[in-house]
Amino acid sequence: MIRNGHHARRPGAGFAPRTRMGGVRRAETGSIRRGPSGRRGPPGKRRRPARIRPSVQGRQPFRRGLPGRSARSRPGVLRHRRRATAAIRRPVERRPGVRGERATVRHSIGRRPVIRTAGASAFRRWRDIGFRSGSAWREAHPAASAEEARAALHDNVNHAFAPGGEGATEKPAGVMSAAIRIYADGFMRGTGFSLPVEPVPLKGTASAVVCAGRNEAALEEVLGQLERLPLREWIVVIPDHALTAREVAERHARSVIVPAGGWTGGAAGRALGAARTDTDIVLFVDGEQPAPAGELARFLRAVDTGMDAALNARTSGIAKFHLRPPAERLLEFLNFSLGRRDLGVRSLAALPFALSRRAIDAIGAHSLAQPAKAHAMLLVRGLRVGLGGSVTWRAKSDLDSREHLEAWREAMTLRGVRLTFPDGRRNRAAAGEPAP
Amino acid sequence: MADVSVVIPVMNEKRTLRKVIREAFRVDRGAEVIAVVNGSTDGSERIARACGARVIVFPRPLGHDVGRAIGAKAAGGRILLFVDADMVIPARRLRPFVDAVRNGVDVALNDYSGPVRIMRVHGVVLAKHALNALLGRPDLEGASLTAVPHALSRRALETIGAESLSVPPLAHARAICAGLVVEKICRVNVGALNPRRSRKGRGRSLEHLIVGDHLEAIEWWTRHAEHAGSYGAGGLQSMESGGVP
Repeated sequence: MIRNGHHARRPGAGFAPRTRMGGVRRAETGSIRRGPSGRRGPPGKRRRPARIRPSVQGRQPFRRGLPGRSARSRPGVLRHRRRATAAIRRPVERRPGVRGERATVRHSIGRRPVIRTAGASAFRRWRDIGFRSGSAWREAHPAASAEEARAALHDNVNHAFAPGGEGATEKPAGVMSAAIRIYADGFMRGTGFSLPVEPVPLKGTASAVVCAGRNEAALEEVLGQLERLPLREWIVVIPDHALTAREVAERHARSVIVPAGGWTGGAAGRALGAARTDTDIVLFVDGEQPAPAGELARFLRAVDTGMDAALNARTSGIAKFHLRPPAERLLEFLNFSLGRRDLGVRSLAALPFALSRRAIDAIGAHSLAQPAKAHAMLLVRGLRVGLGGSVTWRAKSDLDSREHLEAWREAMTLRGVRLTFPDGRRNRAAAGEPAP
Repeated sequence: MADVSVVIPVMNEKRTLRKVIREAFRVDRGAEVIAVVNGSTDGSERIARACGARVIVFPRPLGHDVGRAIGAKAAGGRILLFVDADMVIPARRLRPFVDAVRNGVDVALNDYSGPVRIMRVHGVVLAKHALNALLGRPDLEGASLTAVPHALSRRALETIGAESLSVPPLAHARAICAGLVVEKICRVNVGALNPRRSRKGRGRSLEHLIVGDHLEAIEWWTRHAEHAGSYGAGGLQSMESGGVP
């Protein structure tokens, strides 16, 4: 079992190389940096040990604690703003080389980014623990299927790594998720199955809503990614024009098929699907544009740790202002006028996104049929709207302006015509114009 | 009766006022120049009278844009040109707006959108683009009655009501909704000409005022689009096809 990381402080264990790959991969390959006595290379030509820096075990303070814990200790007013800022910055911090491991990246001026990782031995230990848990589970369930093994892993991860669990220590989020991955890898090896899996510790239950399109291959890929996540089920909404997608959906045991009848647009399908869910977290994904499970996991995690709506944090596909379509300008102004300039053009009109049960109850599942309006409702009602994962996504149709009028009407009903932009200086009476 | 009326709201602009009035008279032979002097303590009124303008005086400040509405009410011309007293625009650059109205345009706008070749634009620039998109006129980009110079036909003034000019985006929405001919004419870079914001440090509150004005325009539109049962001059269709009407 995991003791809270104390033993990892023995000399020589708490060091990891400063490298784009991070210590994780090194742990997998088993190549561990030797001490001075075991140094390789030509004699007399000393290699500087400058690329070595202390691991997180040896160094304080950490940039961020475990997300769920630190967030909850903050005062409520500041909560969503701080979160949003942190989330907005994140895509910039990401480095291509660390996509898988999610190590924490710290920028320093004039130097290469420093990736803080846990020591290699700590990761090896997590893998061993995972392996033992996996083997033990397999011994207890000799007739189990690979699917069941994966479900057992998700349960196990929840137990071990959720806040308060035995594996939850005050590690930076990136190190935690790397540890979870290693643990999951060990677990699956222990069970003897090899199924791709995206371990993400959740306190709540989760499901997904998918709107099927005509592209069956894409749907297969979308569902394949969902299979890796700890979702209880996913609602596949199948409109009349995509009836053949049903067969694809039926191949997956966790699919719940909902016929949508005549086509009324993807948003209407999402509203229909959302009404059939009862989990704490609902993830909405596009049935025609697959997104990697690793990114989808970030949406689940964001909502699980306190967000009410986790939007797609994408930065790609957003052009400079003068090249943007009218619909994006409207969304950006909607965010601006509701005090969320930081969200830019990001909204419920772009997939994927995840909602908390609280959010769905507050605005009603049916309101998702009008994404811009639903988005405004979330903001106006003070729900915590922030960013989840970052997925490249392209809009299939422009939004209609009627829906945006509805969105503003909704906001103005609650906050007044000028929202938070008063006119206190004009002498309108002098011109005969009525006050707003 | 004069053919062209030039409306100039004035609040403590003695530095540029003389030149602005001189250029206004040069726009058209026999032009009527109306200076709406409000809250001025620097002798602007005396300068305006000395330069031959018709002067309307308010001892207290009227607030942003209200002077335009009052000047428009007093104007007798067939064409109304609106300029600000704090920036000197040569008459030759003002004439195209007057000529456009003479040739059948009802609302002749400055084709100026502010800096847009960037990721994050100024709130006012965003508001103007969003309103035009919502009104089904994305082709107007950021052109709006919020920016000077612009010219109106007498027909436009009577249709939208002079008083609505005190909230320019509202007047803008009314003009488009009424089916008036609203066009952007040519570009006068008022951003480069206008030192006001940096000088007086009221950028933020002005941004909020103008964004709020646009919200008023949107609110007006939510009510009138509903009554008219349409979304402007082919608005909805053009939104859906992503094109220009």
